[in-house]
Amino acid sequence: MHQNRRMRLTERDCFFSSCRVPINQEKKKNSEEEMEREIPAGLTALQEPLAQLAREPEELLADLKSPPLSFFRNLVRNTIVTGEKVTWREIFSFCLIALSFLTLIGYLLHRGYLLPVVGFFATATLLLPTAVLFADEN
Amino acid sequence: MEKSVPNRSQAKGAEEEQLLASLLQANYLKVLDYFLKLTQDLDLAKDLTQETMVKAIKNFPQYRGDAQFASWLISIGTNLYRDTLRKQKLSRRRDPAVLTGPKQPGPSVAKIDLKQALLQLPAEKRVPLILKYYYDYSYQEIATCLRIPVGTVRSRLHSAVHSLRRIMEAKLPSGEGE
Repeated sequence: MHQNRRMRLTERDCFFSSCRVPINQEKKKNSEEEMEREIPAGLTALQEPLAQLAREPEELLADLKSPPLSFFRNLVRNTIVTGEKVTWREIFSFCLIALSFLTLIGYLLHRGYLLPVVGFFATATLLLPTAVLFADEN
Repeated sequence: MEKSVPNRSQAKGAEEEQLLASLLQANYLKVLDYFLKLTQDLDLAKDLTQETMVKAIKNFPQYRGDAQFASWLISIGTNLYRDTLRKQKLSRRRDPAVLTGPKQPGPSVAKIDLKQALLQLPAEKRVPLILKYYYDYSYQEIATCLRIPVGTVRSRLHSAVHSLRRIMEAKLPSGEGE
């Protein structure tokens, strides 16, 4: 009896879910079609203001020239060299800080400060997701 | 023989640098034009173009060639512009006297209104509008450039057009010259 009830429930779910999906797809299709119609019409209506807006940048650009190839060659070279220097500095700093940190943790544990170390790691674990959320995206 | 290997890799490195430099030079004005239309501020556009070039050089090994180089540069530049806006918002919170927007003297009320109308749009709506209208990018190209789904491009574009028309219609009674 329980099995029959379970089967009936699954059938009902299947029935409802199969009904629900086509209706949502249709709604989505209609709104997409509406957007497809309205976007070109809207852009046509905004043609004059947008063309006016583009005139000033185009006038400014007409007076400007692209810098010479030597400028870009120097830029590429300097960026690569600076990048290499920064990478080595980062690797060295990371190793130094990581070793110092692990040495400190090992020293504290050796001295018997188990609970403070556990407390520190527990706090860091709780706060880390929040800090990650505010990290700068590069 | 062993000595020639580092020379060959050095030569390859030099060729790549030459290729990258020529690609950047070829696309410099295109990127500057894009930022000018996006920010309506020449100084900011030049700064952003420069930063985009530097970032492109650092990330050049990640460029797979599946999109045009100009589209890849625009994608990098758009992210940089969003970061700039975020930093400006933070500094405005600390110091409300910090102003954003174009600093050049506007010749007419109508032009300032148009610029303000465009700059009032959030960056996520402004970018697809500019790429679609001025560069005739397809929805798929915009989606690839901005790394968002095609449906999102469509809805942001629709929203941008709608908002811009509403802003323009709201400013009309203020008597801008015709």
